[in-house]
Amino acid sequence: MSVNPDDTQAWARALDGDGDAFGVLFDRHRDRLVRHSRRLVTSAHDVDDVVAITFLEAWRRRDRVRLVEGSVLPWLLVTATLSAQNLRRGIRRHRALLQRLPAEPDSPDHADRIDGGPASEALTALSLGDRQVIVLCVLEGFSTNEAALALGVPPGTVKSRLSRAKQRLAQRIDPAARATTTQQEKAI
Amino acid sequence: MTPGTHDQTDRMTRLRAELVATVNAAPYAAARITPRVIGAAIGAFALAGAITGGAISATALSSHPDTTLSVDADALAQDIIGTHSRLFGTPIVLSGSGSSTIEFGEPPEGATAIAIAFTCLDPGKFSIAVNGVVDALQTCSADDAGSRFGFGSSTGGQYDIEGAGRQTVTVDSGGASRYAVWASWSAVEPIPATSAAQAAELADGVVSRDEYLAAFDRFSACMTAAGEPLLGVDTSGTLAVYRVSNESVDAGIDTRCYDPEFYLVDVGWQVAHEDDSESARILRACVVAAGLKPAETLAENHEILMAAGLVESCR
Repeated sequence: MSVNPDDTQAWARALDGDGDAFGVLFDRHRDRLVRHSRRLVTSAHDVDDVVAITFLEAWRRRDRVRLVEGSVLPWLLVTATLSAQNLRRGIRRHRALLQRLPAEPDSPDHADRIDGGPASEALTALSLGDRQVIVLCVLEGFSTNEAALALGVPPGTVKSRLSRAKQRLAQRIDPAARATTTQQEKAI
Repeated sequence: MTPGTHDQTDRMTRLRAELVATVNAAPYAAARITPRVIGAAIGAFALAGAITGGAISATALSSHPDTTLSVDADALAQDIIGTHSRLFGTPIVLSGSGSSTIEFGEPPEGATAIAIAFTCLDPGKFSIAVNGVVDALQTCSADDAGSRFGFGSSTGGQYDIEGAGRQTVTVDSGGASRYAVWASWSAVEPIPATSAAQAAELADGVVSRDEYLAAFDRFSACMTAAGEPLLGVDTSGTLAVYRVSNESVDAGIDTRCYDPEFYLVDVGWQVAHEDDSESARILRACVVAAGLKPAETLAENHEILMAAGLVESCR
C-alpha cells in the first residue's frame, strides 16, 4: 500500500512547536482514526475519547513516533489500538483536557451504541499483538514491511503473527461456519 | 442518531483547537533536557537487586527523607523488555532523583544493546540519555506515579549499541522526583534457522498435505517441550486450527518453535490453498448472501465485499 499524503513536513513543523501543523495532521487522519476506533470500543463517546487520547499521546510521546513511508498514520493506528485497550487509564491521564471538550448528553443514548457485528467482537477478543497486525495489514491495507516499521519489530515477526492471526480471527468470526465447512471438506 | 457523530463536530473542533494550543504552548526544543553527569555518588539509594558492572552516581534525595518505596525490579524489566532477550551479567538496578549516570564500560562480547526499563515514582518530567544523547522523555502525573509500570509511568526498551567504547545511561528528573531504573547489557535472541526437515519439505517448491501436517507436528512438539503446548488443536480441515498462549508469544517461545519448524511450510500451504480454505468459503457465502455474483478467488471476493462495504459484516 502506498501511504499518502506525506506527513514529513507537517510533523517536522509540529515538532518545532507549530500547532497549526499538528492541526493539519489531525485533519488529515482524524476520520481514519474514528473509523478504526469504532471497531475497538462500543460507544460513540468512547470513540471520541480514543481519538483524542491518540493525538494527545502522539504529542506527549513525540520522541517515539515513527513515520512509516512518510506517514504518521500507522503509528496513530497502533497507538489507538493500545489506547482503546487502556482507555480508562488514558482518560485519567488526559482528564483535564477531555473535561474541557463539549459535554456528552447526560443520559446514555442507546442509539449511540455501536454494534460492529461479529467482526468487531472478534477483533477485540484477539490478543493485542494479533490485533495490531490485523488492523494494519488486513483492515488498513499496509504492507508487512510498513507494519513492521510501525510496530518496531522485524518483518518476519509481522508475517508469522499475521498468518496465524488471520486463522484466529476467521475462527472467532464464525466458528460454527468453520466447523460446517470443515465437515464438508472431510466429505470431499 | 448516527453512531459516532453525536456532538462530534463540536467535540472534534474543540479537540483540534486544544491540540493546536498544546503544541503551540510546548515547543519541542523547550522540552528537551540537557543531561548532567554527576561524578560522585551522593546520597544514592538502591531499592532492589545488585548493583554491578559499572559505577553509579546519583544526586541527593532531600525532599523525601522519610518515604520508602519498593519496586519489583524483575517485574519492571519483564514488563518493559519482555523475556525474549539474552542478558549479560547481573542487571543494574537503582533508584534516585535528579541525575544518575550508569557507566557501563565496554560492551561484553555478544551484547548488541542496552536494555533499559524505567518507571517514575513521583510526578515529574524525566529524561533518559544514552551516551549523552537524550533518547526518551517521560512525563508522569500523580496518577501515573501511583500506577506502577503502567501506560503512563514506564518506558524503556532495547537501545542498540552505537560505536565501540564505553557506554553510559543517564536518567534525569531535573529535581527531586524519584524514579527506578533497571538496565543490562543484552542481545535479542536470534531465531533458530530453518530446520533440516522444513528445508527438505520446501525443496521441491510444493508443500503436500503430509508435509504440512508433519511440520505442524514438529511445531506442536517443540511447544510442548518448552512447556507451552498448543491449545484447541484441530487438523481435520484445510488449515490446522490451534491457539497459543500470550505468555508463550511474549516469551518468544512461539517464535522460536514456529519459525524453524513450521513458518515457511505454513505460508506455502496457506498460499497454495487460499482459494479453497474455510475463509474463502465464508467470504464467498457472504457475496452470495448479499445477492452479488461470486468470483473464483478469495482475493476477488474480498474486493467485491470491500466495494460493497460488507467486509466487516461478513460472518
